[in-house]
Amino acid sequence: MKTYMFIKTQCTGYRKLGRTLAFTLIEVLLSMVILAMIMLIVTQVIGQAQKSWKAASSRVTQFREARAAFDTLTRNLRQATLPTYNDWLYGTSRTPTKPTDVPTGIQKSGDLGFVADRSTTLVVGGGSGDILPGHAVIFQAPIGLSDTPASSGGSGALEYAKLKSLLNARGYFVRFGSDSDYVPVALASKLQDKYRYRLYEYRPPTEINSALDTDIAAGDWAKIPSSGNYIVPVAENIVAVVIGLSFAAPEASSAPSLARPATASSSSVPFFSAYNSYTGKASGGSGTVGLAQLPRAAQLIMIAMDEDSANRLAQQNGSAPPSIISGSGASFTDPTVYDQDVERVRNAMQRLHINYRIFSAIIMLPAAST
Amino acid sequence: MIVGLIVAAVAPMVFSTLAATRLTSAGETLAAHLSLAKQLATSRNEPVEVRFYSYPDPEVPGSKEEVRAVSIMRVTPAASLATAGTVAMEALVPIFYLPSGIVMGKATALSPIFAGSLLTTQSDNEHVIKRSGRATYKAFRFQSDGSPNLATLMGSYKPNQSYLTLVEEKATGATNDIPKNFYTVQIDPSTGKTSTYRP
Repeated sequence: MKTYMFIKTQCTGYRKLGRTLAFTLIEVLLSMVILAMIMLIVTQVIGQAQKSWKAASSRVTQFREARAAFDTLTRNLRQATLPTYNDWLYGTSRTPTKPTDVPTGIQKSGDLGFVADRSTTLVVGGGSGDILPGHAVIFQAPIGLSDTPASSGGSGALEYAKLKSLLNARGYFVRFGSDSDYVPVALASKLQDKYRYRLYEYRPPTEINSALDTDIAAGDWAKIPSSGNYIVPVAENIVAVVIGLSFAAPEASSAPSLARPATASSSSVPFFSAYNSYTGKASGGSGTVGLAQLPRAAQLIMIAMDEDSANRLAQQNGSAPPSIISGSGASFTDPTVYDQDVERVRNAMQRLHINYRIFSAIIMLPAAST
Repeated sequence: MIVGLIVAAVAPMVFSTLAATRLTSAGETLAAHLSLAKQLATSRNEPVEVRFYSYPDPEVPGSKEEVRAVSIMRVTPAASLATAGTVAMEALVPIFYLPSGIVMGKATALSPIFAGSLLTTQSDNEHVIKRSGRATYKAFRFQSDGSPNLATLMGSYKPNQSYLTLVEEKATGATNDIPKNFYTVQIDPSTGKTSTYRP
């Protein structure tokens, strides 16, 4: 339909002007080009906003995962148990050489154990300090994990699901490595190996708990395999876990006689960074602690970084560990100077422009006897 | 005409973007459902069963039986000795139906959890799925500590075989390969932690 414009003339009134002027092809194309340029700028702004949102979101998600892992670690460690009893001592041994031997003393003993040490010492066949930084810990706790299928009750029911206090060994350590064993099989060829520091949990079921097995040497169960069925990654980008142990004031340092009960000989509180309840050996601290003692408190420090920082380090280092802890100069061998070690790690991470978070807590172990 | 040409050039990209967005949304909802099941088991301190229902799409004549719905059921103990050994189920949350056109791949490469006899196929005798009268399901459980029983069913810890994949229904077929557009949800067979993978 044609449209007409009218202009007012002096004499005759309105005069028909002709058809409405429309846009030419050049004008349309020009306006579309301008529109495209505006859309390009808007897209770039949106892309930038999306990147920022993704970075912030990944930081929140990453440290949420680290916090959940820390909660899991502290919750399970708090359940550590080590019931003790007084056993006869025959010289330096708990077993007599012949039936007529007379006991020479009483020794505190416990069949369940608690072992904390450098990860390189406690994790069997693990690797160097850069691959296994910080400390590892293994203990017994009434967690109730079993895996015997039930004979009835539907697919997937467990026979001992209702026994919530079954004893389990439980261990934690940090290791650097790839996720090639973890990635879905169908995607393994499509994804690059991701080399990260990860917190692992050693969680064997109660069916294979050999702590009370008299056929093996005491404490033989207290070793963490570096891989296997029961080694499960709990969280990624956990750079290290550090443990400090505090014990109750010790009993008399010499073995008490049968006529005299044990008494506390010192009021100082022993603390260490490593302890084995089966041998009574402790290191990285001071004080006296004997056999079969559960720490009354444990200081846990967990150092985490975000995925963006880990990704950047992986691109720089490839499959080699970034050596964050060893490069910082922090040794974490003496709990009294852990603050200084943590400060060294902070400085190192800031120098490397790593976005990090340090979780720290002192946990009381209720099962510890005084 | 020029605008029409531009629209014709852009349209295929828009359709594929829309399909990818639907797949991502379904995958995120599925991952959230699995996390919810784990959380419910922990907070209620009792086992929770996650069921994956297979049935043909009632809105598409001639469609095949594919996994199209997920439910979270409470495992209640038997009411009496007479029914000992059986369990009565109670849905804890509304059933999550996958959007039309999106299914969980049943091929071994796509979803090893559904492969073989790892999870037993059972009939939907409780008629949980109202949309179909002949649905079947496979299920696993989260124990009261939040850990799934997948490691027990598998016989060992195999996280690289403990996952399921959402794909477009038209992309499923005899091929065992993962299609270009997919959303994989991995369930750690020991801890129940979910991880997602997307192209």
